[in-house]
Amino acid sequence: MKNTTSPLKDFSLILACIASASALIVVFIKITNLSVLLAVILVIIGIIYFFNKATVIRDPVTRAFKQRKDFVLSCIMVVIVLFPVILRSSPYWIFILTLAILWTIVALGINIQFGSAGIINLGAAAFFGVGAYTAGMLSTRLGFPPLLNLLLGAVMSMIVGALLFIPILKTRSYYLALVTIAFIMALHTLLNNAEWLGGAQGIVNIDIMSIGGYSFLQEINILGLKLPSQANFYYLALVLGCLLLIANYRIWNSWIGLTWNSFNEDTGDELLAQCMGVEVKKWSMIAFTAGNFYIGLAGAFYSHMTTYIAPPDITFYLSLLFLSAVILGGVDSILGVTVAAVLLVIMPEKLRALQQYWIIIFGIILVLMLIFRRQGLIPARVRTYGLRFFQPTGSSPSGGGIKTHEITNPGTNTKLFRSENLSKNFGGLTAVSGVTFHISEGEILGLIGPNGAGKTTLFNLITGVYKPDGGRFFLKDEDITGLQPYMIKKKGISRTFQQSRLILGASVYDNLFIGMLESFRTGFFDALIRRKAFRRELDQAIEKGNELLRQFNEELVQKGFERTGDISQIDRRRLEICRALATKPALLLLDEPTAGMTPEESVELMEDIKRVQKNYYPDLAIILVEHDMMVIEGITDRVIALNFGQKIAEGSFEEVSRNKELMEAYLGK
Amino acid sequence: METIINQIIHGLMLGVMYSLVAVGFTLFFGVLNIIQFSQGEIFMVGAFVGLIIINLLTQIVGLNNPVILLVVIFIGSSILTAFISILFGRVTIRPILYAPPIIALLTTLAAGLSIRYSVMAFYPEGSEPKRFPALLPNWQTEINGVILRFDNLVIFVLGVLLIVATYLFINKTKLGIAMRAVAQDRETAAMMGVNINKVVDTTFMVGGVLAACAGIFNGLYYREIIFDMGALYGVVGFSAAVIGGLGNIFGAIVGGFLFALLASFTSAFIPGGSAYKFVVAFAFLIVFLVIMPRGILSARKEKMKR
Repeated sequence: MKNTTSPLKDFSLILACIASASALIVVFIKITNLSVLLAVILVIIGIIYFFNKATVIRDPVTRAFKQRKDFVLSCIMVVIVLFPVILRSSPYWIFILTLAILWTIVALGINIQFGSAGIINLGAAAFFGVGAYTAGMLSTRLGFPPLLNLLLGAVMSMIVGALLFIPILKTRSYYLALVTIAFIMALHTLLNNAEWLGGAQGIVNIDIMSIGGYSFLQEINILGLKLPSQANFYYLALVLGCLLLIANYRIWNSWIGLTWNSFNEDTGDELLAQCMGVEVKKWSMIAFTAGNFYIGLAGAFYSHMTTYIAPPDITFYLSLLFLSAVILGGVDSILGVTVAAVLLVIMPEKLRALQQYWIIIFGIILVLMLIFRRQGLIPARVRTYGLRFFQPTGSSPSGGGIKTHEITNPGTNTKLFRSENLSKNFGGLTAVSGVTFHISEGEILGLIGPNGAGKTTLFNLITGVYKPDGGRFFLKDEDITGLQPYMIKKKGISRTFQQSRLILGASVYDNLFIGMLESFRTGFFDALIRRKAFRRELDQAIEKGNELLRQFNEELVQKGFERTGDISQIDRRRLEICRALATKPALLLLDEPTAGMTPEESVELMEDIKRVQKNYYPDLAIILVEHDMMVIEGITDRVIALNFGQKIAEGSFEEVSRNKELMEAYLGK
Repeated sequence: METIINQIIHGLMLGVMYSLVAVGFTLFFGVLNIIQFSQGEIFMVGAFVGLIIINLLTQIVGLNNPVILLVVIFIGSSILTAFISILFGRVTIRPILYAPPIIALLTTLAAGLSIRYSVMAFYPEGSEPKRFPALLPNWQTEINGVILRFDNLVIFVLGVLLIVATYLFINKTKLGIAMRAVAQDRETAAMMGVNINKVVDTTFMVGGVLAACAGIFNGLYYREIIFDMGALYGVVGFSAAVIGGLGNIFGAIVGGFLFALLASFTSAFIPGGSAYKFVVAFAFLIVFLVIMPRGILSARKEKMKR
């Protein structure tokens, strides 16, 4: 690396920062006087503020932290491991810190659900309770060993979650908020009244955690240093927490994390994800279940730590508290969520004097965050898939391009796609009526017509966004009418949208990879353990992506890991077309690709499209919606004109442009 | 037999209150495409505002005529709660009007939490249940074990009138038509000169009035109110609106009564069922969503996408 300063200076900077930060935390924990405490909080905020202002100090520090990530991480780990030693005189605080780790685990689970996939779980405390009660029951009734109960509690929470998800399969995903909130209310009543579950008293005398013969009740004694028994829980929770955190990070940094982001209601785009072949409901359910594993595991751990679980521990308020760790820390930001979860445990503990007003303040903070800083305190970063010092490979553009969809009988020039009498009504409005047309391999078909003629509706019908009211359509003589968008995409039809549907917060590569999601073979197992297989596929994907980008604009390759929101308008359009091409379609639908562009840019883009098709995808058929007649004339082989949902003209541009009906439609009589 | 009828009467009473909250929910969803999760808290605020007015009038002004008191608290609480509701909407919804529904859900949920615990913290001894004076006369007759109470009748009639008034407001007044226009297509309505911010205020006003009246009904019926009573009503109202079909006013009413009757029948016919009434009702909700995901009367037809 070129910017390396002397390593000694870096290391001492990092050590100084981490040491002073840990000292502050310990001081903070040790203080009991409220006014002193508030003063310390103000001092901490002040330090953070001035640190951000004073670039003289800030820049070298941040650079050192960025360049020595491994060293930073190991330092932080050492501090975390040493906490029980430092705090050995106050076992209560070791307990609180253990609780903080458990909450972090829960918050990570919710982050998978809400942060990554955008599905809202207001019943987190209930799943926590399912895990806790399962462990408690198995321990007290059947005498199962605690470690096994941790696993079974987590699995039980997954199963219950999966059952509750069934109604969501057919509805909008925000109904999950209702289902989970209904679940926690019902569960609360049920637990209070069901005698076999201990009723209002809950389950008592749950076995305390033990591994093999080692009971967690005994004190730790290392090298003459005595640690209270609470440290046992702290260290086990820490190990579990670290494993789950690493797992979470690896999943996030894989195709699975990207799939979840693609349909996130807030930051992603569900319609787009569907059109790119993502089975949204299936992946929502996977995210929900995976998150509940984390939550249930933490619950089971809690049972075996406190040896006691009762209905008052499982409230809706607790659910909201868990969820707020994600909102405050940063949606989809693993680091942010971890920090926020720890703070949310420690702060109320320290501010006990304000107990009565804590929830009120908490609610106000949440509202302010949601309105003014929805990305959270530590926003998620652009996904780099663990490629820390990534440099785009300089391989030359390959001549062949990517093969398009397998063509069954090439050369016969059959109709690749045809529709028969397609119709669609919205209430009394006929948007498309009786449209019959076809397109052959390698053809560029222009679709013109005034605003409201039904062009976009026709696209939405062909891609399965709408179900047609009448008529059928065929791809390679296979009837694909009425299939779901992701199925139609699988058959080989891809599209772009009139209004740009890029995920602006994600990187250029990520947007491109969304088009390739379906072709990826590596899954959970590879992302978690077989990193090499994943890495190999990632390299292939990046190479493929670069090849696509290069076909349009050499410079885009350099911007692969930049936020899509930061690239120019024309590059975004190019990126959208690249994404559609990445799905290896046989038929590509371009819905006004030049909308909102200057005439020069339009011409440039159209030449790009024509060139790319001729050079790299000679078999690809393209249907193009366009208003600019000059553009249509230059690029299309054949033109179809729509008006009031009906096809009014068809033929070469020359023929159609002489059509009287069309002139009337555009210009009036 | 008489238990059945008594339970039906009880269910109808609950149904009126559930429906009023549910209509609020459905309006917020239908008009603004948001889920306003603090409708239950506004309901609670309405009841407390009513109680404060009664206390002021009886203790300071010395007014004791129940009829006048009744009229004053209904009108007074409706107006004040409507203002609180509008203020609430301006703070929590206006800045995020164009965000996805889940964001509004979270904002209102968090703000509602603050409201709930503010009442607990700032109302004198707010964590205790508060007695709500019985303003309606205690007349009742018993026919073959069926108990007919006069106050039940009044609550039912007033509830029905309120629903009719809401319907007329939405369909016949200029503000109501603006609301329906926004429900159809927000952008077009805005371009046609409808003031969206005014529609947001109007919707919160209607929601506030409905919730306030439901809150007072609740006080009159149970003769007791408590700061966290809105939590259950919020969820029940949302469930009822979903069962009826989000966005449809009649659906919300049907859903409200269905939910209430289900809960009261469970407590009547299943041994030891009263503890489990909401368990059964929520289980029903979940099964119902599997069978009829769009609700009994779904309002939203497929919309054109661009």
